[in-house]
Amino acid sequence: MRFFFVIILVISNVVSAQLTFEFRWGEQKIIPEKTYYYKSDSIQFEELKAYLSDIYIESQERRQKIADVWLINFEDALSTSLNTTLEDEFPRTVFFNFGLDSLYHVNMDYTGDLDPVHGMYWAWNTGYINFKMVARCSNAASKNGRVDYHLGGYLKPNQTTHPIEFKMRSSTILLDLLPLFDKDIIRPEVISSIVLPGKEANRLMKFLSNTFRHD
Amino acid sequence: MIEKFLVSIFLSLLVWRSVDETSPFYIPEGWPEPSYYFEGNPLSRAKFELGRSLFYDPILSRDSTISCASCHVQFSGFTHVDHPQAHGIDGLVGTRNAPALINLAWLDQFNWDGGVANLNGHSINPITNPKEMDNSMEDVLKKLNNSPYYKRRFQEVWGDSVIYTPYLLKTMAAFTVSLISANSKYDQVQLGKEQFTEQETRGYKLFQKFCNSCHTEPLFTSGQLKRNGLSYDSELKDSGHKMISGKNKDSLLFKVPTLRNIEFSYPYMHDGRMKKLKEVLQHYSNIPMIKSKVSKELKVLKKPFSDHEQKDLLAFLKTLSDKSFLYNKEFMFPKNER
Repeated sequence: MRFFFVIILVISNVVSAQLTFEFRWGEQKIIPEKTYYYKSDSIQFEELKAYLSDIYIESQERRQKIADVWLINFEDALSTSLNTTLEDEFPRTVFFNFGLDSLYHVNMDYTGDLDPVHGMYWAWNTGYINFKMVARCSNAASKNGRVDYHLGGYLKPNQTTHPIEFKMRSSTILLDLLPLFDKDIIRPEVISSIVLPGKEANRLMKFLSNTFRHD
Repeated sequence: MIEKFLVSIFLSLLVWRSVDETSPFYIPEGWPEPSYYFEGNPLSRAKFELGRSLFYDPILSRDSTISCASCHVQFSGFTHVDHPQAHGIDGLVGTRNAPALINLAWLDQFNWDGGVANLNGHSINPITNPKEMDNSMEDVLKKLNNSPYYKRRFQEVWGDSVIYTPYLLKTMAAFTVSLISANSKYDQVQLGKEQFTEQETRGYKLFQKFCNSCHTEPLFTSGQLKRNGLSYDSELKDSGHKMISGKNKDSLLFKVPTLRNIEFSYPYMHDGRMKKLKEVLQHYSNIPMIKSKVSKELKVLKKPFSDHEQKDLLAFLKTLSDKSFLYNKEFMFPKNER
């Protein structure tokens, strides 16, 4: 079984496109309250959210921005796709930041996907969480098995936003999360809570950013 | 020099363009340009008045019992005076002294630990803090959107029938950014309209020599984070800016508070551990010069202040009291509005 973070680009015609983001466990779509297994433990996701920012699609001739900020929430189907209109050219490459560029943290726009009502804003530290995972793991170190990984930070040396680039030969982009658990990158039985910017958040976000890949 | 002057004129024009003449905000004579980005939140009288209503309305808290004014009381410089640490919903006590809300337009970091970088976003903190208002932004917006009174007020200010987060936060900031205190005896002396007594003059000289580098005129704060020799409280476990940056080198760095209205804004220090100004002066008189506990500015304090010097300093500090601010009717609870 594999746990994937998937982005699918469906080109319906040369001028319109839909960018779709899907949380997956291997070939399955991740859904709330379903139990998934890894090694000797199981996990149920209660909250799974991620910010992508400054999303561009590039053709042979030009680079076109299709969105400033995109918040993906696995409980909200509408949030998992991004509709856009492209120039009349076939796109070749997609660029985006995994996480929010520092400008979004300090501009304090608070509208749309940046609205603090989405539970991704750290009021005490002026900034956003870039990736949030709240889950239950049977062996987690916390009392009730709760796991909280709120990964973020935009100030040096705790910058957690990473640029990602993909060729668009195929329509699917993956972020495989299983190695986080399988390779002991995250060990909920040791650390069940990371809710501050710092070394651990940096390490996990860096790992995740390197796990984005083309299908 | 000319360039600096032209830049100053340009910045003044920007502020002027973004502040409606009916708004109470103004830049006192001789003061620097404010840091607040007025173009991002142009001020008007209506927005200020709506912010004022919200500031005094407990609707923002989970059970509608606590308002901003519960901890930020006008007559004490918009802080509280009854406990060392502020207390909020269900009588829960926090870990810090409520900071005074004075001349915020000139600051660019907020909270004692400097964790908040913009006044517009600041009010999310007390609203969502479990020991203050313990609410969610979602619930606050729901309550406000269910209130015909606030729907009408927000519609008047923002021209929108739905209340969104930015409207709420910027409206709150329109009130707090307008809390200007610049009419103390000190200010009158600077304008040549009054004179210090001999004792106040002696105190002012001492202040300029020993205090001004952190409590910089005319704001009486540099707005920076400093380490002032206070010991770590193992019960409160507050390490200041380290809690924001995660760096050991930032341990016990706290924001320098303004000294304006200091006579009325007791208790003192980030955790309210000192009740009287005299205690504060005694602390600085006997401060242990341990490098890791004291910022370099305090190294001018090579010997304790004498009793006379302490009295002179106190006399000067009292010239920073501004009763026209502490009892300004424009900042008080808005009566008879519903």
